[in-house]
Amino acid sequence: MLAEARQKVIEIIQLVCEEKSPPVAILEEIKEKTHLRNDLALDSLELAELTVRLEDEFQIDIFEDGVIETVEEIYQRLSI
Amino acid sequence: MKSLFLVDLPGGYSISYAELLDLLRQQKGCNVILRAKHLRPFYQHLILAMINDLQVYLVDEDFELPLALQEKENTNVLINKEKTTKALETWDTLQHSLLHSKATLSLFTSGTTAVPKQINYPIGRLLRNIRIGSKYAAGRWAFCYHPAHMAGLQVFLQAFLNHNLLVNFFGLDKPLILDLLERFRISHISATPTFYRLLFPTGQIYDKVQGVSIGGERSSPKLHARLHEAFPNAKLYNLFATTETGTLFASEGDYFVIPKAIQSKVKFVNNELLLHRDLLADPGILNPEQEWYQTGDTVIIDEKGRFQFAGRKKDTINVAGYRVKLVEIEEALDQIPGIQQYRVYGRKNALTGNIICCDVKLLDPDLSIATIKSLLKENLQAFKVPRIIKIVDEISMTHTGKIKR
Repeated sequence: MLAEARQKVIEIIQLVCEEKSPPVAILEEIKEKTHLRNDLALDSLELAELTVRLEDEFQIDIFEDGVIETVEEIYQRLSI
Repeated sequence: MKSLFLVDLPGGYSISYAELLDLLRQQKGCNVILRAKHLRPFYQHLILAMINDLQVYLVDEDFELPLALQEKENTNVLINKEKTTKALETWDTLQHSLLHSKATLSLFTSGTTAVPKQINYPIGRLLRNIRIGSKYAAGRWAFCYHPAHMAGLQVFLQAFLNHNLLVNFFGLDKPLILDLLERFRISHISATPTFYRLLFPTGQIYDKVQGVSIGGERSSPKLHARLHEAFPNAKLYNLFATTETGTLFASEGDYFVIPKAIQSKVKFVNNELLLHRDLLADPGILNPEQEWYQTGDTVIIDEKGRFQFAGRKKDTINVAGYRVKLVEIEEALDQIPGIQQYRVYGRKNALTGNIICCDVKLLDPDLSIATIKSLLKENLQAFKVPRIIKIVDEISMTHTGKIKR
């Protein structure tokens, strides 16, 4: 179950990245330590999009309690 | 040591006040349509226009000028040589000239119709908010706003007229921002809540920062607490400003108190903030018989009559401090032939306040979301392009037959 949820998170990040031009990430590259801003170069609008998409899936606004920087922190916030 | 005026890392340069004066002395004419692409030329032309009491138009990079103004773009207006030379003799003469400028700044704002309203702003109105004196002489500013918007202009004037340093932070990422805060020993930051939220956690404290102002969006006690942590020696100010009025209210907490002097000129109707025409920079934006201006800003009022900024009425939404008119996005969608119907709306999030989303009903089943986005990008600034587009079979309507927002 956890692995599935984490896979879903990665797919959502991937979706947001694909819409960047040029796209920055491929699936294998997103790891726990991947930094959303430094490694994937997501800007504030892209991070906001990510939050909303994750909220649709998990019903949690990940930025509610402060800024999230890495993929691992998303997992923690979503308790997955 | 030369005192620096501007450091612009993305632009790859820095310039001192002495160098700026030299550049200004060499300039023969001045543009009156100022697009905020690069800071240095933008400010050079703005300063010359102020010396010469000209009317200048400050516009976004992608703004489409009204037809009557298009011919002014990229044409040099002659300046009064004698007056300009005199003003540029020394820093003191320049400061004096700018403080007495009769220039008019024209900005465009989105009103209740699709046509942008031109607001003519006598510069004297803006200068009234500027504080000058030895107390402000050592300021080192992080510049975090769009230079052609009201907040950016106020920061520029406050810094420039006090011979302060401006460091461009607009659009930079977190590691660079934190590095610059330290490297340039920044003393003042004025930015939107979104800008600050993206800095946390800062990992260290910045005790040289003395002033932190927040404006453009609703802030929160949580944000204030985090700002106090990161900038323990800074005084926090909440600012409430609009393009139509400039800065109107300032507070040190979450709630704004209406100053006695303008109490009769401010009222609330259905939680919307209304301003008397006397407070407007350009009352010409109202019909002559209209006494009150509807700001579109909704507020929460407490028992003591203080108020807090709650958000925007539904026709305009706030994305990371920018006001986005939904009708502008709807017009861009109208230009795409394969779309039959759409619904544009905001989705709340804790980072940027809102993001723009839209549902579309297609005429052309082959039209992809990626194509729609790229077509919209041609006509809209990035923060206005819907981030999440969904293709739907039916668009939901309200009971009055209007498309829901």
